[in-house]
Amino acid sequence: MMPRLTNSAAVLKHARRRWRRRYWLGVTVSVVLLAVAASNASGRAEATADYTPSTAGYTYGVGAYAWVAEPSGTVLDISGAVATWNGWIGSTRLFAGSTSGCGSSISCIVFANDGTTVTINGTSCAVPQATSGAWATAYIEAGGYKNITCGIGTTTYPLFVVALDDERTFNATQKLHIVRHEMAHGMRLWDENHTCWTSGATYYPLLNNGTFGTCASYPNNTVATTGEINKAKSLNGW
Amino acid sequence: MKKIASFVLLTVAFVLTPTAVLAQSPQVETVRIEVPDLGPERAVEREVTGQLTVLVDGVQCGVLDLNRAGDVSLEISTGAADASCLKPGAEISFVNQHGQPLFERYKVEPGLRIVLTNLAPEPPSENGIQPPSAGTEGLLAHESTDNSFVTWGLIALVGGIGLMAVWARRRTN
Repeated sequence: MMPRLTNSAAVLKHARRRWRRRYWLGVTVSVVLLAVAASNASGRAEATADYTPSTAGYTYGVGAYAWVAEPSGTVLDISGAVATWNGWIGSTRLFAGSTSGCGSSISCIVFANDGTTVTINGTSCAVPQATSGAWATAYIEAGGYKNITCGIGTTTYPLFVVALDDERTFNATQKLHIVRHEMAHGMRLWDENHTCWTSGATYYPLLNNGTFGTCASYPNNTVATTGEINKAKSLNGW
Repeated sequence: MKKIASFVLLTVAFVLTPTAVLAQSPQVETVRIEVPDLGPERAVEREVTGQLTVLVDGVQCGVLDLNRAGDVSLEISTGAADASCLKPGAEISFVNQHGQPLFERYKVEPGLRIVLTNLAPEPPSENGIQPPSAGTEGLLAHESTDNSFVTWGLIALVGGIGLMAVWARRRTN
């Protein structure tokens, strides 16, 4: 039981102490309300977390089905990348390992070291240099629409040749990024000026080739975002 | 003295000779660029290309509108164009409506007539994939421009303090 206070100075002192306690209680409540408001704002951001690639890519893509191959070696994990992309798009559209029928009955994405010559569906093709400063460059031949000349690709069954800069040594993560990113060019996706961002989770656009800002975990952007996958599906009729 | 004079004469002749040769280099009066109708199977290429800007050494010298049906052409001629558009040896390049430079490039020369049938852009990764950088730069908060949480926080802070102050005052009285 609280003692009864009769002295007016003591009453005033007690009241001031109580006021200070309540003031700090008010500040604490405000901080809690602030935290609630902040979490509410970030919750709304997550609803618009992904992005849709908007930059125009090549006019022709792999279309219905494609071989993905690396005839001259096994530097990249082609089978793994093919399985991953098929998993992302939810159907088996890509096949690993062969160049049989490239340009005549199926589209192809062929990886090779720059400056070398590869045999694609029985035809020799000179692989150009990767663009200066680039890890890899994805060329296209689709009939008269071309920036490489191999005499193989057509508008119905385009050929994509990815020239790897053989003067660089890539670690496993970089290889994973290269093969998945360059395959996306065969699906008509282009480099996008989206850098990594946080919105609850952190997003690493696969189509960010590193020139549009870097992020803390770069080059760990090895996974396509949902928006990128949906765009690839719609551009190739999948 | 004669030796010095002949040396000076030879030097002057040596310096002036290339200038004289250059002065004789042929003038370019017109450059004609044609984009023929590529047929229905390649119509999509023209559609995607859209407005095609013609650059000569980086200077805009004309536009071809590939949204128009049939053959499309452009003639760059003296008087009608910037002099640099007809500079012999200058590089002619093209940029499509998406800002992508085309793979095909040419050099300005007398009587040049370009029949452009390849509308493919240069390959991507033009600027290269740069090595990773340390730190957190480039990692963006997706809705960093959304300042609603700051506003709500300030309202909550001011409101909370105000309520508690009123409550404390009443109790004191």
